[in-house]
Amino acid sequence: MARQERAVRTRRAILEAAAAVFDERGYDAATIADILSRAGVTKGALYFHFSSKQELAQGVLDEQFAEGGVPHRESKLQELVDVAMVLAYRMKREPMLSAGARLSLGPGMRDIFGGGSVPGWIEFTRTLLVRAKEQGELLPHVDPAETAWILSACWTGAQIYSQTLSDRSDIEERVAAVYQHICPSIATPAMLARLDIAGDRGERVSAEMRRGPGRGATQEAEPALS
Amino acid sequence: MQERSERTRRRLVHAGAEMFHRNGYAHATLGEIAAAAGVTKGALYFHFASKDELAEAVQQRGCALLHDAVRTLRQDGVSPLQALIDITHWLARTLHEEPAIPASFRITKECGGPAPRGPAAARPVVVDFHGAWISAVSTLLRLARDAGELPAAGRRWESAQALVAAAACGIETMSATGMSYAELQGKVAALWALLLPSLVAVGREHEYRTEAEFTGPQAVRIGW
Repeated sequence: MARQERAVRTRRAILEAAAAVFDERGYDAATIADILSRAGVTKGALYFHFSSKQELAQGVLDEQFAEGGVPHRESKLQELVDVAMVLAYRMKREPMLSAGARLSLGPGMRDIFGGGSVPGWIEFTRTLLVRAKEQGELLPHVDPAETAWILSACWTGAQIYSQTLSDRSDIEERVAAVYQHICPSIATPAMLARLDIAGDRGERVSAEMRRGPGRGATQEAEPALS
Repeated sequence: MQERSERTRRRLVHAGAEMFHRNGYAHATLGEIAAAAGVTKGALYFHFASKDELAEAVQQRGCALLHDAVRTLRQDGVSPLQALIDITHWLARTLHEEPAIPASFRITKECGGPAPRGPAAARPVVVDFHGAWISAVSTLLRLARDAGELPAAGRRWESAQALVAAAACGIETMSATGMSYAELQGKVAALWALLLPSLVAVGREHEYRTEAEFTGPQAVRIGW
């Protein structure tokens, strides 16, 4: 048991080191040697967990999704906003996430990772929009697949825009702006009135998640749905 | 004589753009670029002292194409907002048809990005092509506001600007993850159909053409 725990910790340390190196240097320029010296593990330990640079990058990408969850909401549109805002909030703070974005959106990555996490992200968004539509949260003309693509494009674009102009310091406001402008065109007026798309939404949901479930946190943050 | 030298230079920039676009800055070699351009390595070095210099020339070409496209659209006499819609369609098309454009983005992504914190990696001084694109889009959006086309955005100008810039950047990132031109063209049109209501006066969104247009002068391909 103790041994297994140690292996999990080592794997995590390697992935964190890999994320930091990919985030700083990009996939092409990153080397296993950089990752080794950053992680402070032996070559043998690294190769026990990952056989190549590509596997390390895949590990970083998978981690993005492993950590992507937010509390379930009655409103699926709110849940979607929460996912986007939490990701924006954490992107500034966690190399694992910003490295994931750099790997997914990096040039040439489609050949290596099949588009990184972008196709999965679009599909995730589409699924939530389909459920939102079934629950009557969306206007009748909304096409979930088309809208999922547009929201994903705007999310990645907001990330680039913020990175270009402010080194990501305003990413949450930029992502919030995307949803604030697009939601009125897709949500029913009743739903829209209840949506919380403030710039600090990600921070508040993250705090709620840290407090953990079963303490009434969900109730507190959930906008009332009648 | 000078004309021939000019032609060789153009061929090299084109071959460089193609190579940076396909293989990336890190993997492109000057030998391959010279071969693709059909010139000797010596001839390449006569024009460009290094890979950095060639990359810079490719990005300058990208910027020149972008500025020409904006100017052409403005001279066509369409409204600034229509010009903005059209320039995003221009981007979707040139990302597929004109290697200098995707190459310029790729060089920015590979060599720009956050300031290097690690060991001083060899990073050429590059044009921030994302910045150039955002600035072109923002200028058209400002002109549209000044022309009174964006009453719905007026109250929340800064966030409207962020939205449009994000959408414009998103077209490039999504194209880079693999998507045919026909598909991308349809997505760009759908994107504008969704954005327009939050920008223009109620009911006026139908006055704008959200699809790509290929009959106007802007459809003329800018050749090498």
